[in-house]
Amino acid sequence: MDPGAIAIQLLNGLQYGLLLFLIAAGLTLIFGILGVINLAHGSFYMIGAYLAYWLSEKTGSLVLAVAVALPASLMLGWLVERFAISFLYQRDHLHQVLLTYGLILIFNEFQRILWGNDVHGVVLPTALVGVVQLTELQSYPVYRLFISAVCILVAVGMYLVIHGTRIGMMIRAGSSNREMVQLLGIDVGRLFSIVFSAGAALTALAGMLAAPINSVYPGMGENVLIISFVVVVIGGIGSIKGAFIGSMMIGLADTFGKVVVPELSSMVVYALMAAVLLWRPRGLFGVKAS
Amino acid sequence: MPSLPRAILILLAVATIALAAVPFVGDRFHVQLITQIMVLATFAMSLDLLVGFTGLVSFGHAAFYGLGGYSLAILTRDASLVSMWATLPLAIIACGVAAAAIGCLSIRTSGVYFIMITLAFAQMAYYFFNDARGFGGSDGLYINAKPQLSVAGVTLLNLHNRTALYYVVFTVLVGSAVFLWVLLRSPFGQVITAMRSNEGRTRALGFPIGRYKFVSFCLAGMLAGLAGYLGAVQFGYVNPAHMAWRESGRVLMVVILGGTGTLFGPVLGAFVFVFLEDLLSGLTEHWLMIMGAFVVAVVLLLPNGIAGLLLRLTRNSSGVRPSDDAVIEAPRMLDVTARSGPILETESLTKRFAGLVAVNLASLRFEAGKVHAVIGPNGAGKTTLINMLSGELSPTDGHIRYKGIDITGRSPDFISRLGVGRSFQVTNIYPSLSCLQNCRIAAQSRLPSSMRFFRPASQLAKVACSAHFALDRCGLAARCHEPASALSHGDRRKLEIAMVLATDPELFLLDEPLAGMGAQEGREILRLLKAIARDHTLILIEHDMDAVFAIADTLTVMVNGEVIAAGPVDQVRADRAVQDAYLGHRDAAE
Repeated sequence: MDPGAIAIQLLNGLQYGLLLFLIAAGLTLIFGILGVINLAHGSFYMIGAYLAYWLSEKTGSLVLAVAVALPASLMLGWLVERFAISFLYQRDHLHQVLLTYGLILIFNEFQRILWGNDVHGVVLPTALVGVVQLTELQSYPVYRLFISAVCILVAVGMYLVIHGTRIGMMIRAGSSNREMVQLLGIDVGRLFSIVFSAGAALTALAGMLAAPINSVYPGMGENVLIISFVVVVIGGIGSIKGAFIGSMMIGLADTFGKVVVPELSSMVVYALMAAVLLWRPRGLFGVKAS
Repeated sequence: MPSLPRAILILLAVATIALAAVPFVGDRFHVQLITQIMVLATFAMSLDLLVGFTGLVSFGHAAFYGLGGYSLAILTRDASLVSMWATLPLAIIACGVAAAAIGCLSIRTSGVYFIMITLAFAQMAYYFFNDARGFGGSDGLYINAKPQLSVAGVTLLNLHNRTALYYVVFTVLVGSAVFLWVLLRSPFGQVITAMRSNEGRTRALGFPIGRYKFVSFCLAGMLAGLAGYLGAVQFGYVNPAHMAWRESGRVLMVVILGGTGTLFGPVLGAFVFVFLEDLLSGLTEHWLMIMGAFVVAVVLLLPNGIAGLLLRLTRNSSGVRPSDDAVIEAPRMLDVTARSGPILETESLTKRFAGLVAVNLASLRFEAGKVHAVIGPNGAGKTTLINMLSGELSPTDGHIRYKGIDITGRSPDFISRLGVGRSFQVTNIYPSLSCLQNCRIAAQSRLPSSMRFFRPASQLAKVACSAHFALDRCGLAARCHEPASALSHGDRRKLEIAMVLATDPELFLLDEPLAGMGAQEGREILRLLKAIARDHTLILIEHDMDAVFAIADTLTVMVNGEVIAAGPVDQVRADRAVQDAYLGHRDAAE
């Protein structure tokens, strides 16, 4: 590979990794703080993507669509937490798996009823169409750079919230010792609601951002769910830092795997995860016994 | 596994007979549907062995199911090998080998990480068969020739025949259920069930738990492969989707929906799941929505699945009938000869946690046949010391020798089998088992091996004898059929001591045996310890100084990780440094 092609793959890998981070950050916090294995997390990604498609068709503007869809998915996350997940805090992991699996079925059917089984494309805003010329021969789409920029902004924002605010302190405390936070008189009900809704909204945002490049299709949530679980486990459950490192590893491994070993590319990320777990059975930054 | 209520046994018997009669009364569609369900039920039972009994939640079980099918497809590829005698064992062996490879790597992790690593391996298998050449890609492979069962040239069964296949699948389902039922009552089954309820305790009793998990994982993988083989025979093809996470998820749902840890639950789950799918998909195009709502409702309303509901309805409130266990035989004669010489020695034993030195350069000698007390204020490093002696913690530096054998950093189960038993600071028992079962598991750890799969564990006379004897010594004989969770705090502590006694240790490590006891309970435990001290060496941590002086022969005093004095009680008591550092501030230490 020539340096230009490597640079493009590197950018692709980072962009994919950053997008994964938006999804995995919520998943790892829900895991670490609420103690819930949320299989329905991928559904929020799908819902985000479909909302972006549907609202941008209706309004003619992706920006407007995102502006409406983001609060909507925050709201949806809140409803799901209140009316389903909150019954599971004291229950076995197996029950959480079963219930959130049921939620996947329900969300998927809603998607089929509302938007059918077709694959849809999403039109980009004109400002983000076009390419950046890297070398004479190679260029890179502006929109992919835009996705990376948005993800980095969100990640920085998340860092500031987690390390600089009261709620961030509760989140940090909660992910290192959930029981203790509950005993310290913190309103965990509210904390759980906030974490779950924020996680859902971030994931939906990832779906909206990805919609124009990956198109929108049924079952898109499940694929992303499995891969973001891989990220969370590589990084260590409950660790935002781990989720970030894990996302970058998976993003780059997947992208370069497709180039270097095309016939085995799909196995690469799973082999990477198995290797990490054999080396560190609780992930890279995992501290807690699960 | 607890015995089932009579109503459920009758129900299961009727269901079995009804299943046997289906081909006579059912139409073609239903015979095929039920064949399909019975394959799923066998598959689900194999997963229940892992999830419900061993406590290993696998999210990649479909890999073995798929591999069973692929093995058949590959073996019958050119239609030369169609004998069931050859293809079935080969398919099962292939799955066993795969399960051994995946199992030995996966069992190093636990909890959610185990779920994910099994998923990772299954996804790798999926992509291997999907992407590698020669396996038909995502279309998979057709089964070119259905297997036949022939003896001496006469074809007894041709699985091409629907009815023949039905009865083979039926036999496999019943056979697997019986096999698993026998397995769970065997010594092996007792260990894996105990391991699921309390892994740390099981290891401390001397069971190498990794080995048990591994064997269980392999057995479950082979059984899943058997189901996959039959599934492939029925559908006539196999493709990578059979291995994908959706299939693993589906069978996990069947198990949870039916009720984990019950064996008949997953079978019921398979019937309910498939019949519901069949019924709903006829009603509406969007039947998965109703299915989803049904699953959510089951979780919220029936936490223990369908089997849990049935058990609740049929188990009458009079409680569990005590099973008549083996009669107590003459108690074992105790070796009361006084031992001499050190039974345990440590040399410069050190444990550091990051910056903190919990135990620093402890060189100690514990004579056999004596009671050794380790005292010191909180945070002195006493529990860390005991944890290193029993193998729960690995020392940073130094050596531990038990009867001349270097046991530094060995696993807790290895040290336990050498004859070092321990009780924990927080009482550590199996709350869901009866007192007798608690002690039987403990006594079973002294068998040369519990890898015995067929004979019921309750028939092990020697085990029952040591269990009864230990309970008797601790004054719990009358309560041996009560669940441990029903005991008072003091009696639980006695039960833990009885469990350790049942492992027949020479050296007994006790971490604060009197902690949290009332005055009366404390006196009883102390009396019990005195009796035990007659034929065991004891090392105990204790804060109650009156108790220590009443029982101990030697004292070891620790402060801030350092051993500041060790020797006979009177000598240490007179030690100036000890008086200054510890005994003088007794109240502060408590």
